[in-house]
Amino acid sequence: MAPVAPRSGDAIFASVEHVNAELFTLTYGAIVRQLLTDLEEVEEVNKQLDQMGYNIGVRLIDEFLAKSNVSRCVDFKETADVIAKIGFKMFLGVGASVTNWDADGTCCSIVLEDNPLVDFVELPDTCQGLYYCNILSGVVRGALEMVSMKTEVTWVRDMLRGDDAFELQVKLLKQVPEEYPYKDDE
Amino acid sequence: MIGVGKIKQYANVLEKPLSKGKQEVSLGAFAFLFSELVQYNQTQVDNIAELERRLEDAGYSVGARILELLCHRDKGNRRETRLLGILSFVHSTVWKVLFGKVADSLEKGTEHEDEYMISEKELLVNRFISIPKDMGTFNCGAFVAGIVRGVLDSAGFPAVVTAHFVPMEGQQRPRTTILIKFAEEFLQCSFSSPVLNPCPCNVLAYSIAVLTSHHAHHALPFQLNHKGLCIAPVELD
Repeated sequence: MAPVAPRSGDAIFASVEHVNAELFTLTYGAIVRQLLTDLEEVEEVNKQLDQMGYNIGVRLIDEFLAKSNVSRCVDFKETADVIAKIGFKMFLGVGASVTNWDADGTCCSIVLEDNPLVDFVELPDTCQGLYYCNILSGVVRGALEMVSMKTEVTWVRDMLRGDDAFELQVKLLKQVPEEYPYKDDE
Repeated sequence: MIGVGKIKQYANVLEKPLSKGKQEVSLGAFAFLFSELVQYNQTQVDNIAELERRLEDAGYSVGARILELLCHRDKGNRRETRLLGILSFVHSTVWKVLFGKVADSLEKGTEHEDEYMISEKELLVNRFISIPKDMGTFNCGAFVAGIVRGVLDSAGFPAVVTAHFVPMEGQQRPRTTILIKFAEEFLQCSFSSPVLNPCPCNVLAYSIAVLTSHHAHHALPFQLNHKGLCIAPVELD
């Protein structure tokens, strides 16, 4: 059977079921507010959001692979492109672009064209250290870990903190070789 | 088109124009997020009632905000001031915005006067959720119950709202019923004397302070009817 061509992000987004972005935005806001109340420390909230994102990423990759027909990427460059062009589009309905590659091609930035998480949001003075969208970095990290890539994902620019864009830096730490889970004689 | 071009920067969130509310994300993204909400709250509680209460609280804050948003955007800063009005607003407008469809039914309780029910065959938040046996009657619809309570409460109709599974004949999955029980004082007291006509400004006020500022134009002392609606005495010539 000939391999199926990967579908474009727009085509996938058009074919899946949708929910209103405001429900999504407000629900996310409710989560962040609960975390701020429970954990008190902004640092802890950042960590918890990242952890939640990681949990999502670990599961989301299955849906991503099942619906996108994307096969193995040849290198990290292609991976980053796929995340930006297909991944973000397919789940959040927003595009993203990849820029700022370093010389050896292991570190790049994903710049979001839009961000549905931050509608209606403004950080109060007490939460200036908060990475409001930290869940997204966790999602990317979790999803990549499931395809054998250990990464470090951090926010470089965040509009809620006064920057002019949302920019995620994705740094490839190492590629874990895939191992057969059982020994032959087991 | 969504997501074309760079996001514009605004000095603060209030300057940003309100979106038309047409933007969408994938159902998967919401389902993942909701499942994290439930899982996180599971780690914070010891029992089911507590878990439902926390989900309801999360929903409440969504409800309070959606009311404000919809009234501002779609209703020209007006809000429903009658009991049936607000109920049908929840059942149709709010439901349509949040879940893309009008709720399956809105009924009045047969046993109790002060109870109303909104039912949904397959509630969006319950789509991908199955309840483990040991969690008994737990229903993630508590989140939606919270949304409904948030809308009602912020509109001046305090109520206790709960979510329940109701088995349906011939259906594998039970439907979810959101039970709304209004505060007692609300429905018990009767209308005031007939010389009092509703104030033409029709502002809903639930505290005297709000009322005093809104209704300074009334020469005579105002009164509230059972729904907290201002019924100022109208001067007869």
